Amino acid sequence: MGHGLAALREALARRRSGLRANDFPGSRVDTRIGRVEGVEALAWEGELAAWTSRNNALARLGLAADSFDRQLREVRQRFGPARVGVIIGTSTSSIGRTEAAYAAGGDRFPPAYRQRAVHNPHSPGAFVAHLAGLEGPQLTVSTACASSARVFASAWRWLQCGLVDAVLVGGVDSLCHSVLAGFNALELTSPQPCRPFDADREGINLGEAAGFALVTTAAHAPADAVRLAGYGESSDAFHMSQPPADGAGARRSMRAALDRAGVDGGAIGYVNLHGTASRANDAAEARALDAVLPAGVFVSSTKGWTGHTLGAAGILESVITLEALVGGLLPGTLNLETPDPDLAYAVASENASRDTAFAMTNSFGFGGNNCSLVFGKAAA
Amino acid sequence: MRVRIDGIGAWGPGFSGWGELRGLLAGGALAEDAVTGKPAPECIPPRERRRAPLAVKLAVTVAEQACAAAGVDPAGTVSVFASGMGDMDITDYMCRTLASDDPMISPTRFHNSVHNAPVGYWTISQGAGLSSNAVAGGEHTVPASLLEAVTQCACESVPVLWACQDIAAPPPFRDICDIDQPCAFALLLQPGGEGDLFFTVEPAGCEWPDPPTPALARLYRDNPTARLLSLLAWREAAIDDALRLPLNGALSLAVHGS
Repeated sequence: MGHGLAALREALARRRSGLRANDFPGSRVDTRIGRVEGVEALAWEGELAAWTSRNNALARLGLAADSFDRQLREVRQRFGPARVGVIIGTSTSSIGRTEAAYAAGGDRFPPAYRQRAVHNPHSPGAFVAHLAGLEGPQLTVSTACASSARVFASAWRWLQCGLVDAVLVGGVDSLCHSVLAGFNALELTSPQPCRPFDADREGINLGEAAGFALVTTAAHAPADAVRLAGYGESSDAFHMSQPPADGAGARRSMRAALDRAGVDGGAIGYVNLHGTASRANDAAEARALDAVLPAGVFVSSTKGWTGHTLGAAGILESVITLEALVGGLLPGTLNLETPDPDLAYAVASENASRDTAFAMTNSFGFGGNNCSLVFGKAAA
Repeated sequence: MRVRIDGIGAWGPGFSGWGELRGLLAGGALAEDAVTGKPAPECIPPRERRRAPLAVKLAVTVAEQACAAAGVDPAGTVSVFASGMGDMDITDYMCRTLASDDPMISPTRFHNSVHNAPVGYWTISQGAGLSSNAVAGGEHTVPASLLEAVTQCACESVPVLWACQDIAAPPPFRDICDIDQPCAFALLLQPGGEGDLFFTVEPAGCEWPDPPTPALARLYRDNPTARLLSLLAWREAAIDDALRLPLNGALSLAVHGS
């Protein structure tokens, strides 16, 4: 969809999807993808060379957008680099680089690929801390597609316990052959643009994204900052890659987030759904919504714009949710034409413009890993 | 942040539980070619256990041990599972397959490839519906993930099961990673009070503590999960001085005893 908030806003408002026919080099999977422009063009020179990977390139693009580097500089100066933590979510980290090492080397990593800091799950957390010049505690959260929603819950606790004065949270996940081939093997990828909650939905489209946010305490935050009002984390305890049909785990994460925020479902004006367009997810999530919310809340999935960005979905959809609170644009559900009559909750297809005090976002991952976040407007 | 360690799980070369490891930490000798058989977690049904990756079996086995030692119902705990390198066997399988002429990935191995597969199996086999996290911190995975677990335990006043494992590196990974023996540890943490362990973050880096015993020095050096041995040895020896583990170049995690 582009780089930065302005591009995101415009694509949402104009209902312009970022999905295109799969042109990921070397992939033969018949599907659509949400591929970010400009990732391959970045140069990796000097000390940066050791960090080379597509995932780290996406992190660089994300940190360079929206004058975020200026905000980071201010935070570093205000609190000191060791008082600012880093928590980054990812599903596949830099595995694309590991795939390339195997393709190039056979039984050995060729010398250019011998990057200790890259071929492991913590690659994005370590790289973002390095690039941002932060020296606080750093952690990579990797709970599949719930990863970069959970970072907000951890940041809340770090701030609550006084470990840090601020936390750079975010998520980075990039397209790679492992996920294209893997979701294809699970028969979850759709050859058509994904259609969340549609009667004819055929599965997911994969995407890639990077997103970041600075989180601090109410005492340190600007008066007009959006609040993280609550978080909820739960486990399905059911199956590695299927949700229970009644969405019980999703229900518990939403309830926990609402309880922590101290509001009931009726206070929520917008929910950005996980809504992957897989048959099982959408049906279970609708059941969970029906149990938690009164009828008629504006709920929608933005996967038709972005595809499923896996470990970056939590941060990307948190950013969209924050935008909805600040700007009042509630995105509908792109490609939803014929709502599935078997769904337990009505999902909005068209965009709306509405002032909202509280909004929620859902992220659910393999392993039955669930996280829901409630954000509130400053004055709420 | 005050917490109490109520149960310990351990698995590695020459030890398949905390009792055996305790003997090694007390100065016991380790056979030159010491390996330990395959972990067989009881809570995973036999058919699934055979197909479960080693990383899963290791984590679930030590998690089971720690909960049993603490007398705690696993379904009532929050889980924070960690690994420095993740499941390198599956990464190796996927990258090898994708580089071959027949790049068809097994769907089961694909869903097992997520970093939260061990904690996913654990929550599924125990019916544990509370929060379950999977984290990583590279070389500093043990102090970074312990900090996360201790913070959650203290901040939310809930029992937290922390578990960490790293398996041996498959051949191509040997170019970037020296792990040649797997190990796994788990701690059942309870919110603590006066007299319990006290964790702080100190604004200065530090060196890793020396290996706790010569018998496990190599494991301690090469396997990021094995850095937990310093905490276990320090606690066993009831040393008065705080234990310090590096979180990064600028910070350390300090553990103060009672």
